[in-house]
Amino acid sequence: MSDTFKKILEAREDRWLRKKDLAENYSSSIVCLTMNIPGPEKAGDLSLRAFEILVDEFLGILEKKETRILYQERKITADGPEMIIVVDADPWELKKMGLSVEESHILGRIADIDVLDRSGNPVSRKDLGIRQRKCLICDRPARECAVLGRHDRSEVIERAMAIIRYCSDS
Amino acid sequence: MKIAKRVTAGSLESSDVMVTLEPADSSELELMVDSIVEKQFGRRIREVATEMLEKSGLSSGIVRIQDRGALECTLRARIETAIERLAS
Repeated sequence: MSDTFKKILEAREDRWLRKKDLAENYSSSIVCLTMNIPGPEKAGDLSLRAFEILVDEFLGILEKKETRILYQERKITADGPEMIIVVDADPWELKKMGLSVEESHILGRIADIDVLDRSGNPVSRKDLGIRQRKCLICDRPARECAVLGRHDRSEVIERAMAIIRYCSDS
Repeated sequence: MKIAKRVTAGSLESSDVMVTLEPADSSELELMVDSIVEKQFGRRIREVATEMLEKSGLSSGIVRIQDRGALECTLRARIETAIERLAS
């Protein structure tokens, strides 16, 4: 196992445990925004820029709906940038807000907006009866292509970067 | 060797997998797999898990794998870590 890979896995597990702790301590919903960019380079300039735009977008939606944020933290780990917030709102509503960013914002395709309910259980697309995410390259489900290694990794990374460049130029 | 305590490794985040090992009364090793890509990869996940568990010498307990679309290298790393945690 490469050192980078090990650090990425540790960062993910650590984040998961922090989220579970926060859900328990606040007994409230948790939203976690991370970037979904393949490869070892998780915290490059483009990734950080996209993250900032997505954070603003999501917090803007919360503000519009007058949703109260009880706690917020932002960090850059081996897995890339992350924002975790504790929110006084219905987890299903939060997941729908997250989905609206994932599905309609230009950068939504490279964002992961995960929601936990107050008991620390993830709220999934499947629970809401919404189809799985599409691959960046073809229209098949993204996880299927990723697990199968259907596309050249450099092609997927390049596509993700192209989306960010397009968004920051316009 | 029996699974003597409950350990976990991984997470339920997208692209990750949570591996839980726990003791059981039976003398068998029970493997439970839940995956968002069950149809395409359920069998492969079971193959990888069974192979690694056999090598580890574990013979009884419950092994729970909750997969959120992890790559095979991630699955292997999480199972390895869970087994290491049994010893610590």
